[in-house]
Amino acid sequence: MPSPIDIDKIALLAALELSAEEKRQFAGQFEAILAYFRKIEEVQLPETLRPGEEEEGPLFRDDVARPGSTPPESFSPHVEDGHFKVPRVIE
Amino acid sequence: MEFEPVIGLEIHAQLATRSKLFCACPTEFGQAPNANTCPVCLGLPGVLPVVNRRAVELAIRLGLATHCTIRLDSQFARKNYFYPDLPKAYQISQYDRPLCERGWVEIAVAGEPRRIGITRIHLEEDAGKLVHEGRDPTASYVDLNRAGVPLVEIVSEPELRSPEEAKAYMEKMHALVTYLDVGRGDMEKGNLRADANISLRPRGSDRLGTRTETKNLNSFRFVQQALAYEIERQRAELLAGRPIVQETRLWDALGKTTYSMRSKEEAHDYRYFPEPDLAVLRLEPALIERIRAELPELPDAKAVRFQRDYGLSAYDAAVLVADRATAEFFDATVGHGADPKRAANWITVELAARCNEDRASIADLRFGPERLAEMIAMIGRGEISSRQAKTVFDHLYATGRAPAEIVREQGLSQLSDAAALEGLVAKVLAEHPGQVEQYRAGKTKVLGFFVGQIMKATGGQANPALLNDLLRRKLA
Ligand SMILES: [Zn+2]
Repeated sequence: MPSPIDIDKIALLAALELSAEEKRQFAGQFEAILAYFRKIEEVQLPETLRPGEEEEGPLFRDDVARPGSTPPESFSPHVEDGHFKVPRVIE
Repeated sequence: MEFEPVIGLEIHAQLATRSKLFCACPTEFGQAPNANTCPVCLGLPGVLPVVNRRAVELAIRLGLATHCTIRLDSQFARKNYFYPDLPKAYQISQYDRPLCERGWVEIAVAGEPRRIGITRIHLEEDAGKLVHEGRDPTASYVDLNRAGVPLVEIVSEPELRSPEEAKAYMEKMHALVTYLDVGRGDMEKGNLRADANISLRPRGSDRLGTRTETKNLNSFRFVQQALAYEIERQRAELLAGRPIVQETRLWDALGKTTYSMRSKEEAHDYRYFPEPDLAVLRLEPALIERIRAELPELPDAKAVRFQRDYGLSAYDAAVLVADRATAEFFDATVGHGADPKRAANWITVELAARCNEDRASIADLRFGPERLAEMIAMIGRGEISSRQAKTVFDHLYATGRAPAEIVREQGLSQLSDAAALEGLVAKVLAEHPGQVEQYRAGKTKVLGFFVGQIMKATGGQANPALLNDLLRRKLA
């Protein structure tokens, strides 16, 4: 059976450059994960237990603002004038 | 070949909440970069989003005002893409179960009313802001204050047939958002912005052509101009036998052109899936009904009332209600006793022209509706002529001072009319032949005596310059 994993497309969407060896390795891992999902799908669940369909209503927050709590310097070394600095994304 | 444009708009409107959609960070504008951030909106591991109740209620309000069906079981979904303005690498949005669906609004272009379908209105979080003009030319700079700010995306059916209709539709949506207090609608801050989809097809055909999307249009004029440009560009391509490239374009307001957006943003495969960190958004019908009951008077209803109660023309009513602040200013001016037609005229002509010149809005005015009502009452009582009222209005607009004061100070009462003053001058001169004699004998200081007499007779209302001039002529 041909692999259902299009590893090149996944790598492209994840903006990752993978070596041939990594592609083989990760494709195998994805296939193993999907195999588990197929097993889970075989379990017959009652209609009322579909995931995300819990009976309790949503948990809401009231619209109350609190000052921001995470100064960028506290967890990123790539900060300049309060901005996160990243590789340039436009030409 | 004759082509027909097919246009659809996606409008993003920022919701008027204090805090973000899924965390308590403030939505306040103009803070230091990254000041309004926390582990949730920074996408740090181990955090969970919690929905802002107010944001949901505001989106429902807009949905009801646009005749949408409100879903009692809508769902959030992840839209996955990599870009530095999106710290989680996915945006929490809605996909196949949006909060509001299948509504409509009515627009009018050249007096022709048309109903434009709303496909959906859904909730989503905004992304951060990228700055590319920093110290390091090889870097981009990220400010995540806006990341997680609540938005509604309003998607129209592709039923708009001209740039003018698209502009009218966006104006209508802006009016609704501001009337409903759903958002502040401040276009210059990007509170309301549109992405315009457009394709051309041979007139009469029901096949859709390849479309382009012009993004981030933050003014009514830009929407109209960008679409007009795209129509011409696509027509030229089609006539030359070149295919239209399906792409995202940006509007260059200076060059008045659109251009292809080249960025390192990758192919659009958003791989939507239900957001596992949030339960289905289950709503009680009672909540929807409470929100419906609390809807304020909307622009269309206001326009009907202005015509019915105040006898305004459909055109004047439409101009007044297009902007909420203007409509309220008019209502209040009439509330202070002004004649409605005169008030409508002053507001839609003189006031609109000055605001337009100064790029100001009603909120910036130095005077309130009671002042305009006072001025209109003075015209009604014949205390000032319509021509003089324009001068009074200039001063009112510039200083905000009471019209009666302006009239006194500028000597603008009807006694500025030469004819009215002339009679008075003749009378005073006739009553004081001795002083006239003195003046003619060379004692020109007597002029002050006559001025004093006339000022006394008019309660200081005579225009001094005009009076001096008249006296000199009569005494010569
Ligand atoms: Zn936050």
